[in-house]
Amino acid sequence: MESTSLRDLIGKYLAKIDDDRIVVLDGDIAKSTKTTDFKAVHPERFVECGISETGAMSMGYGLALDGMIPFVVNFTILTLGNAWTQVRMACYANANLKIIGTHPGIDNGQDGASHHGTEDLTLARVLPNLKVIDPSTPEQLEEAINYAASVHGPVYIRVPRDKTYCYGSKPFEMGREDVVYDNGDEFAILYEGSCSRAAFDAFDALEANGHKGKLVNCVSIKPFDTALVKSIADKVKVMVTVENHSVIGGLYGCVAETLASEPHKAVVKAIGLNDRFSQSGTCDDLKKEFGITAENIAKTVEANI
Amino acid sequence: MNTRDLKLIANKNRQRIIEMLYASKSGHPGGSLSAIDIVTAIYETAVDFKDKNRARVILSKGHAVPAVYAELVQKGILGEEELLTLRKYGSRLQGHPAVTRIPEVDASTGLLGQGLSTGVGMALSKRFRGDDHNVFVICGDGEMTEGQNYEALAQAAAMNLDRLVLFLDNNRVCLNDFTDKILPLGDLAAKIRDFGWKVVEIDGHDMDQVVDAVDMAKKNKGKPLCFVCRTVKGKGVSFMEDNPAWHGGVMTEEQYKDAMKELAEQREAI
Repeated sequence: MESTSLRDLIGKYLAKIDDDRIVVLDGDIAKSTKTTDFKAVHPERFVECGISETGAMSMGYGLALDGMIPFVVNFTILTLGNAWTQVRMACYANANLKIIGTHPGIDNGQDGASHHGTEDLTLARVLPNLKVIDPSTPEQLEEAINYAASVHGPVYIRVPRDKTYCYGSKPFEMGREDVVYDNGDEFAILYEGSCSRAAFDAFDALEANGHKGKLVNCVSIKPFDTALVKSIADKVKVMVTVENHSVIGGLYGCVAETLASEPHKAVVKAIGLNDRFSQSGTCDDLKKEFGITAENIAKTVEANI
Repeated sequence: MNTRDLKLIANKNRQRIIEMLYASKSGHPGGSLSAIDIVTAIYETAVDFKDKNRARVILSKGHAVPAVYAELVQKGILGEEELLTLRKYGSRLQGHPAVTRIPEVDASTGLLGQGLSTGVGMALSKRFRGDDHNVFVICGDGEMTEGQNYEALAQAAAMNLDRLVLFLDNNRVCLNDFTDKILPLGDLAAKIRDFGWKVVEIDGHDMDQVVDAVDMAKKNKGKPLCFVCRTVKGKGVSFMEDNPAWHGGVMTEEQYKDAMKELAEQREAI
């Protein structure tokens, strides 16, 4: 299956929106986030803030309060990380601020743990008013950006740097996950963002071994599709969450919080970073270290069927 | 509006600040009283709530929000009696400005050091939208130790945001002690000027000077503009003046009566 880095498409999709209220705020990182593609088309609405993550976020908040539609685009660690209280203030005001975080999780492999945004989903999920979208296909990314531009209120979009499969996702709907395969009730793999290839490959391996299950791309982190997840948990024996993120407060947190208040059939197993910092290495090296591989996902499913 | 009328309004606003803070038994009288002449002059001479594209005011030192609430009563946005609900459960008058409760406060603020950046964004928005009104940001000198301010100073200067105006309420006192004893910042006016701003030093309690400053802001072209305002924390209530204890002190009944009596006497002298 064809795969691509969604990061490469951010600037192109932002540039396509026909709305002169759209402003992109950069922090001397446009070459890495590819908002250079927006700048090439709309230089007058591209704002270079310099290396100033907190300043840029509050500036976005001010632009939003006065009627513009600002997109602050930077690494996940520098948006939800460096500028968390600035994001929180904008959410408190329910301001029309849009944030795109790139290089999530360990996607920024060789820069090392200082630059790995492995907590942003947790930091985003706890903020009232903030919607959180986690695309893993080009269609989902474009639809997420268009949705963010069209809806009032703060939105955070987490964009993979590592390649993800272009599997032809169904149209994005806020609050709905994309059920990629629904082939049986033995297991379900729920993945986010750049865990796409490992999750698909694990699903294929399990099918080859005669197991029938479901593959779910969790694109809507907040609001989370609780009805879907509860219905799956009532059918399958095991659910495995796969995330390029800490398992504390991320996708596993979404699922566990959804299911804990009432009995369900499934046990839920978490794959991701388990309360540990990562290290430098290629993205593949690091995904292997944290078990974000087709082999580990399939093994986890088979051990619990 | 003539200066005498503005002085009378500022005096009334000081009384409102004392009334609401005595009722709330919690809050920040010192910084509200140091900022009130600035707040009164800005709202009374530059803000027209009937105009959709109006001048906006960001109170970065959000703990001084009683000053803004007092002036919003003067402008007819809040009711006089509503002031007594300050900081109480269910009130619109939150302990720091909350734009979802009172849209006229223009921005939720209170985490120090963020307001100037918010003003940079708002002034940039006005440029994009072709709106020539000012964005007034009021910061305290204490919060100038927050590093984010220096990002904002550089960004505003780089973009020549001449609609942006910083009123620096330089009352020289923060929570624990005098600002210079907590973390000396040296010559703030020189620092801000060095970033590329136009900087003017004024007496923040001289209504003629403050009104002239607002007029200058309206006509300002080229660089962003900063007024470093010499002020006195607790100005108008002698036992609070220049005393760090009144950053967030609670008045006894006797102190409340003394403060109101002193402000009434000042009114007679205007």
